[in-house]
Amino acid sequence: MRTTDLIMTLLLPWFPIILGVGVGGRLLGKTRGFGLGMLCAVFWMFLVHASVGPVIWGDPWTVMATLAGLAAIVAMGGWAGQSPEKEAAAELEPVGAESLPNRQANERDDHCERISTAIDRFEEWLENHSAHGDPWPAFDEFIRMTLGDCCGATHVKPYRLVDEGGELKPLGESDPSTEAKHLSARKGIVGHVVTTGRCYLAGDTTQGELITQLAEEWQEPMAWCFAVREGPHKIGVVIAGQLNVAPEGSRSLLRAMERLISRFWCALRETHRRRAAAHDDPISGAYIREAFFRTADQSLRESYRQGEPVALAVVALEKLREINDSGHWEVADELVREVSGILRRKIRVDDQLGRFDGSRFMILLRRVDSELASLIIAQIMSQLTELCANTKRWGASVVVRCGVAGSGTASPDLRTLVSKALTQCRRARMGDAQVASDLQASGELIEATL
Amino acid sequence: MKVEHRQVGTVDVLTPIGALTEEDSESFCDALLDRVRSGNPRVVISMQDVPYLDSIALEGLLTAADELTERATDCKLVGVPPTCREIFELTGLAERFRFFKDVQDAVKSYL
Repeated sequence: MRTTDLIMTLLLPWFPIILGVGVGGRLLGKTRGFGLGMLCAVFWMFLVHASVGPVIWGDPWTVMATLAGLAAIVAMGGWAGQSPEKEAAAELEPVGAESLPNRQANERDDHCERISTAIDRFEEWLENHSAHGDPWPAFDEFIRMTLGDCCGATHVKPYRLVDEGGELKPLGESDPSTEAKHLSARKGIVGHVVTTGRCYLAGDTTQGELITQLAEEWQEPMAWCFAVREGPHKIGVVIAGQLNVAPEGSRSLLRAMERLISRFWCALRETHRRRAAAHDDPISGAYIREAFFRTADQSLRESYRQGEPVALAVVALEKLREINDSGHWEVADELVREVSGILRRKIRVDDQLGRFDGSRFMILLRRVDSELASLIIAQIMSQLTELCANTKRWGASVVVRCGVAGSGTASPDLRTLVSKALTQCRRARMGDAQVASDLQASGELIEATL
Repeated sequence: MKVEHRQVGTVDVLTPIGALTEEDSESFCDALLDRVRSGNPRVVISMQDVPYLDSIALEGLLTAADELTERATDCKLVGVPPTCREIFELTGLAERFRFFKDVQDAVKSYL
């Protein structure tokens, strides 16, 4: 075979093969590039053998050229697999530093550790706060702390959705009488998050310009915003003003934290619901009798310890049963609900409200004597009387009466105080008065025309 | 319970210390009404050391407020703690008084 023929036959097929191996090695990496090179070398051998035949092995030059071709193809695969970026990274990496897969594995471990810590912390928190009457302000604080520790989130603001999902109310603001201005849950970036259920993450280019623009137009800086769900329903929103982790490396952690916060929120709602069902009257929302006696007894002891006077009032809705008997029990329930609402708004946070029976409520008022309690009750009674005047249309005229008993200097126990207040309530009925107090002499009752 | 009395310019500042209940309320009311009925009706009551008050004290304050109103001035209360403020609000009597944060503001209001 002539030299020109040899070059044409043996060397020319090298170039497409070596080029293919180079590109393949680049895509597959060093080890796999070597593997690809070896495969292609075997294929090249097969081509040479098919075109030239076994005669080539008799010529030492042909053998050398063939072996050189084999070596070149394999080396090309391995060399191309070692990309310049990787080489540069390898050069920059200090001796003993962890490799990229190791670093990713460590990050994953770190994320799992943080999630696990958050779960442990919530379990402990729930155990300490489940018996609390209003756990939401503390849960607000818990969310801030957890997101701060696990994701470096600061300026965190959790909101609950109210008004059928139309408004946002700060989670820590639990007092129903507070009339602070609430945010709209239908506008801006929050409206987008609440409607779609998708989270907003600053710096995430996949979200589109419009979303970024909406976030920039939000009243405060926003780095992260996600909806809290209970099943298919959205029940709240959490907004973080700043996020001290890189979003691209922590997306899975952030997503896990979103789900975790939703789970915690739902678990607390359920626990709170169950607890409330066990202690509260479902219609009025006031304590059932047993729960009232338990909590009011604690308040009473606390007041006596501090030397404070205490008064107990029994508010009776007379003839309520007539509305029930006439078949309008839903009207009666509504009345009870509204009366309870008025009482709740008028008393202070450390006063106690309970439902004694179907038509009577009990109120323990701290730091007031009978006379002051009567003044407070007079304020309440004017509203209740107005409310009950509307019941005439249902065929029964509900009358509100109240008996007030003060602790005085004798410091009686709760049962004695309740008995005294019930006696005063009976006295008011007998004398056709609205309020009777243990301070008033017999016959000196507050007339129905307050 | 004791009632401290000091003069800031032409204004009498009364400072009851302790809860105003029963006999303490009566003695405080006597002291207050003495000041109100004197020739100088410029009175400020500093309530910051009163954890709570009873109906007698409230009645005394109301009497003082009524008498001061007749003399074209107000009953000025300073540093009323939340527990006492609640009582004024709950009984609907808060509007009969003027509330101030500190004694200086209350005294200045007479100028």
